[in-house]
Amino acid sequence: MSSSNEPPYPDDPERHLPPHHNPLPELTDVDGPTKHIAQAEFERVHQSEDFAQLRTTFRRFAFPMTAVFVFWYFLYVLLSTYAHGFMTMPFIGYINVGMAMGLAQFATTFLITWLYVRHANRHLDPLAAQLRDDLEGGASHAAG
Amino acid sequence: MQLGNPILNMAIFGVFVLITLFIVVRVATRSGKSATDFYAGGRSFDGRQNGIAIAGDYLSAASFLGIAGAVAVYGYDGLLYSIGFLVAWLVALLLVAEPLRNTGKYTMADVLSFRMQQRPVRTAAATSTLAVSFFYLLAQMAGAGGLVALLMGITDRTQQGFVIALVGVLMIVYVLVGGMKGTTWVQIIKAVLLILVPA
Repeated sequence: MSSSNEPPYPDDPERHLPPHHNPLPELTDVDGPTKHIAQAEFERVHQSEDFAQLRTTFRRFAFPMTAVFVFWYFLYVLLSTYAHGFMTMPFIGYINVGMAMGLAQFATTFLITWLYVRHANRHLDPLAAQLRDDLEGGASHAAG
Repeated sequence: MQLGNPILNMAIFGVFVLITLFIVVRVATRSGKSATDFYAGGRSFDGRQNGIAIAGDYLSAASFLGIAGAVAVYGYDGLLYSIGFLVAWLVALLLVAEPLRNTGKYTMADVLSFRMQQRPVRTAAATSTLAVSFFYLLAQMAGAGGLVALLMGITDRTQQGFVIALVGVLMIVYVLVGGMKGTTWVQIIKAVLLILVPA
């Protein structure tokens, strides 16, 4: 039983029990229970420029890339359905354009994955670590 | 119609089950008991092992039986399905997994409910996950039923259903006992076997 009368998390209406009673933080946090961060702190970081930059960096990669591969894949499907003459043209030896395009889809998938990993390691991870440091005060370095 | 001797098939299946169960239990008793171990394999798998495990995920009944059958029956159009699987993985990568990166959470429900009310958001996430899994499992179970009929000579629907339910219970045991570590090891073994053995 909690000895104080006030709720343990005033800005979180779902949490009625004291911290050590609540199983959710330990079950859901990767490197151990995170410090409870006040609403005001979240608002501040949410408005901050660093966070806006992180969000733009992510969106500027993910959305165009998604549009590109969706368009490329639908082009492939539509050509397969309606442009039989084009797709059955021989490309290299007895491999026709249709097969080559299918294999190209494989190649582009691997390429996009590689580009994403490079982008995330180079641009997203440092920004995110910096924001986390700011919010949790160096906890991210201790947890690795 | 059945293929081979059903007793031999069941025996081989039983041997595989025992070997993988042993691996899962050994992994479970050696590893820690924290949430990180259960959900993220204790972060002890490197990129290559995780990649092989994901490949093992995709080498499923739907791939081996469904796609192979579609290509055999419909020719080139079956190939379009398998390319669809592949490109859909990119959707999961860029639009679902990417926002979860660096959040320090395990599941989509955790991230969504972090700053919102836990209960309704988690219910919604669980419902949508179950709905998607249901349709996915339909295809897998159809393949499993066909396999059981072929290898064990069981053609009666209820008996097939019983065997499939048994396999389902086995899968639940794998996940509950082994967590991510156990299932990742099972997937790695499966991927290696499925690629090497036909070769």
